[in-house]
Amino acid sequence: MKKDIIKLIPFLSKQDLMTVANEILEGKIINVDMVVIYPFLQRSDLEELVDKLIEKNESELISKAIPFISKEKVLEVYNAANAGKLNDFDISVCIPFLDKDQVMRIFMDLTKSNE
Amino acid sequence: MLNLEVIGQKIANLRKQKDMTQQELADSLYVSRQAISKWERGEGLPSIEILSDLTKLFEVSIDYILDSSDILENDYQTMMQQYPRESVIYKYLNSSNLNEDFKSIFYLLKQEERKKMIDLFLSRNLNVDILHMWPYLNQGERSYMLYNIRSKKIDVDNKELCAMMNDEERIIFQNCYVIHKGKEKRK
Repeated sequence: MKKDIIKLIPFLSKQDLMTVANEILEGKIINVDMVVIYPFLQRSDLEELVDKLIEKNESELISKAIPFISKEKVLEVYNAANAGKLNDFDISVCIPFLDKDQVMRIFMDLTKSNE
Repeated sequence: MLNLEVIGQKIANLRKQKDMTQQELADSLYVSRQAISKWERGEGLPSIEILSDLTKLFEVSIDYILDSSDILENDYQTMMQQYPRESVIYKYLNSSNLNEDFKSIFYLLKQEERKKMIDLFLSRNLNVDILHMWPYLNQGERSYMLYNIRSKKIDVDNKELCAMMNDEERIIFQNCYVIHKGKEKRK
């Protein structure tokens, strides 16, 4: 079953891929790593999935999605982690995927909060 | 995306200006020497807290460390060198400049990645104009494309495309096109 799903992934429609991702998230499909689906999802769908992963506090799955999401969404993840909404999330994985201005803003916020 | 090599080079230069070894810098920041080495090679980035410590230690602004560190949106070569290939290809596939960026990424791809890109086009999942793709395809890829244009009924601007082809390709294309059009007429 697991192998069958993984082999089918490149041929599934965007809609079917999202269904598979949601079913993995809900535990209806087990033993399939959600991460293998990421490169095949549309960015908007992947970002919708990341929102659900944040709600469910799935830190590891979120950190593996970071290279594929937009810098705006990376910043959202960073802020969620910084606000303590994600347990055991390594916040430093976000930084390279932000742009200079975003890093500058985080830096300034940190400096202000330290003062 | 940040250019980790540019930032790493700045950290290395600042350390050398202070006449410090990697070990001395590591000790003053409470990190391992391997971490310093990794940052300087552009294989990682310090946390924001450590960046803050670095600015104090080297007496520079954060702006100085991050200056020119943004990778240009179409600089796929630098991205490929520093980030996972799969994520760079994904970034291209979600780009709003697919036509313009095609030439910036396609030559960087491995054979199987090029094939996947062409298959995405043929399955109408990559919205690139074939006229932008054609000059960057090799002989085998052009033949593959020609045969599939016919079987998958891909709409192409045949006049402009023919102008880019060599004689042999033009004959194959025109045969395919005539057969395809003939079948349509019969319907």
